[in-house]
Amino acid sequence: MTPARIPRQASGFHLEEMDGELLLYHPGSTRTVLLNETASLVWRLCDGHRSSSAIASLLREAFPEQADAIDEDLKHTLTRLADEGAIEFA
Amino acid sequence: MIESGTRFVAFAGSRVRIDYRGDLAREIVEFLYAGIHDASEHPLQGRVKVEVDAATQLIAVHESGELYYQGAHQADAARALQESVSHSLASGSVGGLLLHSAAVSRHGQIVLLPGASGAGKTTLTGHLVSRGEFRYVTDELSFVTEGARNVTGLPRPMSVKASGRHAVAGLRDARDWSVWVSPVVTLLRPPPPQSDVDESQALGLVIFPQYRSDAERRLARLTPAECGLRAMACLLNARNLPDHGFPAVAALSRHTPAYSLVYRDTAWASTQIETLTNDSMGRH
Repeated sequence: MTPARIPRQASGFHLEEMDGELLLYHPGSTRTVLLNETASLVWRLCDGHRSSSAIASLLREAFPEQADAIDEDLKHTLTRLADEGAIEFA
Repeated sequence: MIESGTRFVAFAGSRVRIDYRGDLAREIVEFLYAGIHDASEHPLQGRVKVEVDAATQLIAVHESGELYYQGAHQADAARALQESVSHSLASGSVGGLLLHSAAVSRHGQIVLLPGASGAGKTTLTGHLVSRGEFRYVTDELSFVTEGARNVTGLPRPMSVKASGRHAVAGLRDARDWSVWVSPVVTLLRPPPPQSDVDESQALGLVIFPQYRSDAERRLARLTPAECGLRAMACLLNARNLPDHGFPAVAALSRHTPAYSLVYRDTAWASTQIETLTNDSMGRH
């Protein structure tokens, strides 16, 4: 993952929020994607304007006690979201 | 004179016509579907034909004009007819969520057991029913009506693969169950009324079973989103529903306690389900 890359939510997904988790469904591909609370937060921050490094900065500010692990966790989460088709990179 | 006739099977907003020719063909159709009432207001979605060759005594099942099965054993032919009819019903189902799911009832509430083929739905269902605490509803198709609160099941004989026969030994020996056996399949038809399906019942629990001979047994509560993810994979009529049934699946998942159950012995799995229904349905 390149820090300067800008992730954005893939279009066409229907969204259901359930107890902090998100369930996404894409009618075209009939794919269903489950995002836990962490992945949901990251997915919401993928607005097509913030870079990966900007998202990491936001998360470090919000969760300073976990700052050391955030870069690696974010990289893992963005990779998974991209693999699931839930985000694209500009 | 060779007997011929027609029976309609209606379920889940869909309807299939079955034409039969020959005494044995009629017997097969009656064994499978005698308990199902027709509902002529549902659109006809498929046409299936069962006939017996008078010379060879081979039984043939045709689906929409194409040969689907041909063989000599009535239990195998009956299973093929079940599959063909279920497939046709699913293709036209509307008005609710049609899930690839077994179902049993206890204390007037439904326990859904959704899963792909091979998950162990039927074996587990048979074992639960044989223990006497649960009533049989269906082993294959469950229809969750709009609002995600009530369930009806496709009433049909339980179709147990050879590997699952041990789990239904109690039913095979029960005098009031009708049993057809081939080397491949055991079909078990409950005494009339064939099941609770004519009356829709409240949905109480969803349990996703997974038979794994090589895995640690495990029962785990699912979050609503985890339930929704799994339920979407078992939804058979998505293309016929608004937004592919996704909002309705989400509603079901929000309203209903759900669990995953990995098991390798049916006795342990049945005990877990009995305990869960004791807890969630308020009976001890």
